[in-house]
Amino acid sequence: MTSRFLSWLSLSLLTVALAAIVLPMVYAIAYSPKVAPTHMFYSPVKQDFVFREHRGHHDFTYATASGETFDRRAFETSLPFIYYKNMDIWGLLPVEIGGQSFDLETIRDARQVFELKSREVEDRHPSVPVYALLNSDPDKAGLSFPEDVFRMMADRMEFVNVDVNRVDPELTERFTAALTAEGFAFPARLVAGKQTILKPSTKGSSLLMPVGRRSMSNGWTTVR
Amino acid sequence: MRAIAYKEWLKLRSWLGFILAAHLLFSAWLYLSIRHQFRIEHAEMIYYQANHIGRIFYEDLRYVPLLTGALIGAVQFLPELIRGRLRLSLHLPTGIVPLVFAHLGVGLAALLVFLAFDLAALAITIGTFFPAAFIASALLTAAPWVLAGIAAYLGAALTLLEPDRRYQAANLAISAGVVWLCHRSGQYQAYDLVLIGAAAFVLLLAPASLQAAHRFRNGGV
Repeated sequence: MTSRFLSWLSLSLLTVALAAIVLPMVYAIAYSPKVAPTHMFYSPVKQDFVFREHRGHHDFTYATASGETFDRRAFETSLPFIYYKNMDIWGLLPVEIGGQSFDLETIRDARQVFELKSREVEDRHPSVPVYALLNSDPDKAGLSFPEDVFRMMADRMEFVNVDVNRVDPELTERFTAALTAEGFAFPARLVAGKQTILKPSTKGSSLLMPVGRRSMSNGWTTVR
Repeated sequence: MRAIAYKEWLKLRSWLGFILAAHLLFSAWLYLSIRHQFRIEHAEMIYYQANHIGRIFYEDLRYVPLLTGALIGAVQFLPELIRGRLRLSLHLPTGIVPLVFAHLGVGLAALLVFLAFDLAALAITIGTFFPAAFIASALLTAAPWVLAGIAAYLGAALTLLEPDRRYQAANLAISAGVVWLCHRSGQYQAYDLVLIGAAAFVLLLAPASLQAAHRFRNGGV
């Protein structure tokens, strides 16, 4: 009798748990309204994060992280570098931020917009802690991946040659010595840098130690 | 229990030999396919693809545990049920629980040997071409696939032991649901935070078979 109860219990648990996963998915496929992703920006005007959330059926909420809500126009004027064309049409340019004035030409020529997806936040996505130390070669345009990759060990920056999958003691020693000489405290807390060659140039990788930061470039072993 | 293990061994050994040969061939294929990548492409680009684009070079392994689990389950339980032999065993004075678990134990032990072999082949292959961090990543990525293999075996037992067609359909759906849960993502290490939960789902399939076995013993066809 106990075994039948145990069996019934496990089947019931499985049924309920699977239904709890599958049914909301089916419901979402069948009934969810069309929604756009929520976008969060840093507003240099409000000195706070502002976001736009789509609730379906063209119903948007514009708000700050602290809970203040406002209309679309106020949202756009809080982000003058993104909505600068509307700002211009509304006669709100030049805009003054932090004691500096920005007109249409300045914004158009100098603005840069970076997007950070939630999955790109450190520790929010899996990654293998082996990195390429990219280097801008002054003699040629574009970037290429080096044959040596590095990993941060407890007491050193260790290089592995990818062609033979073996540690390169000479490079390891050279880079570890350069870092140590500049006061880098092992182990590294974070290695940051865009691991791609689809960019015009690089300033190397940032290595975060328990306190502070050093940046390195391949080739010159430059520590900044 | 030793007699049951011996009986199962006699029944399964030719199939196990076939499965072993298939896994040996597969592991050779896995090694050669990754070696081939390193021969036709610069190693640094392969590192980039593996780490940052998320290309899984051992993707071929994904459904191997699933097929192995389902096959062992089928060859272990189908002949028993088609000829009704298991009903005789289930009337032995040992009790139904140890008897069902003895059968499952033999099948699971065989399956785990193959799965361990697959993981070892994966670790050796990846370790030949990539640093250790990639081995850990590959094993974590393959872990839900391995769980899907165990779920497929336990699910096959759960489904095949059930004599009532309506319950059989429900058991098949539950088993398929657990297998599906273990194959939800094509990203590497996507299951890092939910491996224990997925394992709990799979483990629950083991006692689930007991009720089906009870019904089978009590006269279901």
